[in-house]
Amino acid sequence: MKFENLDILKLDRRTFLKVAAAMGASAFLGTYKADIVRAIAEADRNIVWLHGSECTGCSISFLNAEHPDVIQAVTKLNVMIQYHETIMAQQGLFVDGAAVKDAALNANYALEHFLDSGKPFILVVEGCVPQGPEGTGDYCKIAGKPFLDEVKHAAEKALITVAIGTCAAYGGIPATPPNPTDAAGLQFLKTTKGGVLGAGYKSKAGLPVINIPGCPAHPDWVLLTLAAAILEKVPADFLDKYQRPKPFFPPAYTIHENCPRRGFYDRGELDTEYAGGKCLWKLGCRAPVTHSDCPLRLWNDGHNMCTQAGAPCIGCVEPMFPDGTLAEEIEKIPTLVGVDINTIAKVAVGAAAIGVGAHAVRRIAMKEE
Amino acid sequence: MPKVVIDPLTRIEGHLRFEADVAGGKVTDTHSSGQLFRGFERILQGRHPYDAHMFTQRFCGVCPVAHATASIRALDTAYGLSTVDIPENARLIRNLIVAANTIMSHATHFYALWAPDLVNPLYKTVLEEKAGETGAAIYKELAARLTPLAGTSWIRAVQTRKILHKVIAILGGKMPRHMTFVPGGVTVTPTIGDIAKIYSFWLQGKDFVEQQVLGISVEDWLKTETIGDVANYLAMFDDKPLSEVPDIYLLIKFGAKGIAENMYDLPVSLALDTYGGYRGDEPIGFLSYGVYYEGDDWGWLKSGFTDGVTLAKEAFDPNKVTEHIQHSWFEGYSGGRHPYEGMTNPKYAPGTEKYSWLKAPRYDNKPAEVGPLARMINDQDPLVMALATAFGANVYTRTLARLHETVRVFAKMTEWAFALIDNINAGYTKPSDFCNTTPVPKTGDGYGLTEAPRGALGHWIKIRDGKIANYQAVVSTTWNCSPRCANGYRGPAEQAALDTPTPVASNPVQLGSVVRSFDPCTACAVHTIDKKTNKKYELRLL
Repeated sequence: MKFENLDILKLDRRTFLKVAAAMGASAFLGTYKADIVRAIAEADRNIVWLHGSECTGCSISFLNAEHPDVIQAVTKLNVMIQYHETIMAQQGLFVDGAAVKDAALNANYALEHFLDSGKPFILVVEGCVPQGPEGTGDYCKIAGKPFLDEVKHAAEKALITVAIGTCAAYGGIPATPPNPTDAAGLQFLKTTKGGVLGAGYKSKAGLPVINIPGCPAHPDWVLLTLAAAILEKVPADFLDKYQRPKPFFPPAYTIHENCPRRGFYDRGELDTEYAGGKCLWKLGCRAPVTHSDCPLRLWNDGHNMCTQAGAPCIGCVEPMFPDGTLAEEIEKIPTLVGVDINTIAKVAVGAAAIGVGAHAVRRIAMKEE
Repeated sequence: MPKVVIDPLTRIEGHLRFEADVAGGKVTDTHSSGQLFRGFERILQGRHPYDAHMFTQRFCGVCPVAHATASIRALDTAYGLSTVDIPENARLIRNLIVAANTIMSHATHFYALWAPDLVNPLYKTVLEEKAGETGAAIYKELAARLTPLAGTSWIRAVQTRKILHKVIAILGGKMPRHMTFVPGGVTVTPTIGDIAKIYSFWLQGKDFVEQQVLGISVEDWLKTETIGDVANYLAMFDDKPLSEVPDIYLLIKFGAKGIAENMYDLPVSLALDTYGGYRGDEPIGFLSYGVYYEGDDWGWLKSGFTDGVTLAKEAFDPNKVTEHIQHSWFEGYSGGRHPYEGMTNPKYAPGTEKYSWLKAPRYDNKPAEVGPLARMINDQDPLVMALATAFGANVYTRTLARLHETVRVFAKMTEWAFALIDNINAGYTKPSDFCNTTPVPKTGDGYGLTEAPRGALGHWIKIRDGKIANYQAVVSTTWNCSPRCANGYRGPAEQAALDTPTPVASNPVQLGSVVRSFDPCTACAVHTIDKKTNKKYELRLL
């Protein structure tokens, strides 16, 4: 698999800032008067961010972005967040059952007004979409309407649709059996394509839903993908079969290959108790079947990652998350699917040369075939 | 009589609908309605107990730490481990993670979620009409600091809150969703260098707290114990231009009618001390489960229940916690049930006496406010007791209690960090000094009580055949934003919103402020379903 030609790869954190600066800064930052109103009206790039059956963890993670941080990004890219329930000043307002017709006060009115304006926008969805009970979507209602209806309505009009977090992408924990609320992701339910928007859904830009899974999604993944979308730099082969951006979720390798504790695995030093400081394979680590760049990118401004802190990877970016019992060795989980055979084969070959542990990985690869 | 509905109530976590009847410019009746049902607990049944803390911290992205803490304490007890079985290093690390998240959550709540209400256009009108140029100057200063995405304090707070997440990442792998709590302790083994990094972040946070929030040192602030001390504090900044005073000065002085108008003879204030309290004609209390390990015990901040009318404090008894469903979209029993005996069969029935996905938790059959104000009252914190005595419970004291608790917890963090350094220096660095790895029991019952930033949080677990047989969580926002109970008593936020001034029905800013002052987090309103079997929980009371 080659990524060299993908534009997004050139958009690493440093060049992102340069590109952002070239876009021209607006006078948004530091102003608090009429300029903001004007900036909203005249902004080039709009984001509508909807929350479904969710926990706001991906928004909170988004606020942890660094280099650029969210405020830099919003300012330098002249992006306008038209709707985001956690941030916006307005709230949903009804008086005697009628919506208050003032976009400065009523969040719902602001949203509908914007969606009706026909302006292009990027739709960001956080959280899965409950379809129950009995297909009504009543398990999650906003402004008196099922979220199920609202997300379909917004997706019809969106230039680009982005699912943030494993819930919005694939259903996540709420959609895990027995899936009590009949929840699904936007275009997937676990590994099955479809979701609430349907397998054939394409946004106005002709793209399927871009999935940025993770529990939560890493802010870099979100910002860089949004930046690529805003700059219209989304190449045809940008996404893998689960519609994840390949630069962050590389089909060709897993967390295991770049794990800070990899050396212990190669020497066959596997912890059987916590806090031992060595390879976490025996404690249920999912790194060998999890495709993400966590070990290279690290979290919270490069300070740490799960396995480095002794916590077994739980595979939160994979469509089947949270499949199986998290504390169980992966080789013992019969149901584990969503594993890229090539990847496993490559890992197995690499590991076989060194010896220890290869048996397990190979067994999974065989099962997949 | 206009009926005002806020839906969605933004700048909270989750989906909450709040309905108010308004007459004569005041709220006369209220209904708080949770709009999301997820069913997490049902998903946990039959899974490995290890999954519990990984799943339940995903209840909420703002306070995953609190759920992980409640869950891991429930697992500890179900695995047969008491506090003394958890290595001291693990207790210190758990404390540091809980503290960092509480501070992060409080800072985010105050600056990004609650305070933007103060720049609502309504206040501009009121301040300018009643206080002319002075009022305009006050509004201008508030707007310059607190406008979302643009205010100077807003931006600095949102950027500074990240350092608390970095502290958690060092000890927890990443954040949100720290990963290192396991039954028996923690997986992480920080070095002295890691803790030095944490201390460096702490010092950066201290700069923000002292320069932006307090205007004085953390140590000096913690000597503020009486209303006289508060007056002396204000006097230090009275001669300064508004652009140079600390954030909390603006809130303390202009937030309260009792201070701005009564003490300073100003023609106007934000009057946050005049609403968001309790009438006292329905039962109400303040509840805290206690939080943070203290030596071999739990409860550096003490547990307790303080009656809202008599202000008498009694010891907390977990057996007095029940949940009602009379007005919630569930069916199957009447009256109240302890979480161990609870049952949760959803039945969506709009337009009936039922109006929320939240159940109604009650303590000794009384509605109870939980959160920083309740914690500080039950911990008998001198400053908050003085404020509550002088001003009562309302939006003003609730918000100041949150900020004051933030400073207290922040100051305490170094004590735990230095204790950890001492232990490491003394050679307590073996795996068993961090985790008492314990096999999963075939059978075990456990419960874990803690305090989320927004209030009392409890998880109850039952393990059978090495699997989760049952799991129940009673969460903070279910306490605060609960609907009416079987006895017909309104929930705390419903009571507190009564009489809220609502001069303009189409812009009910004060109503939003009242509900937000409880820091609602409704994604946590998770309950289980078993439609097919209608199964009733068999767990026994503790």
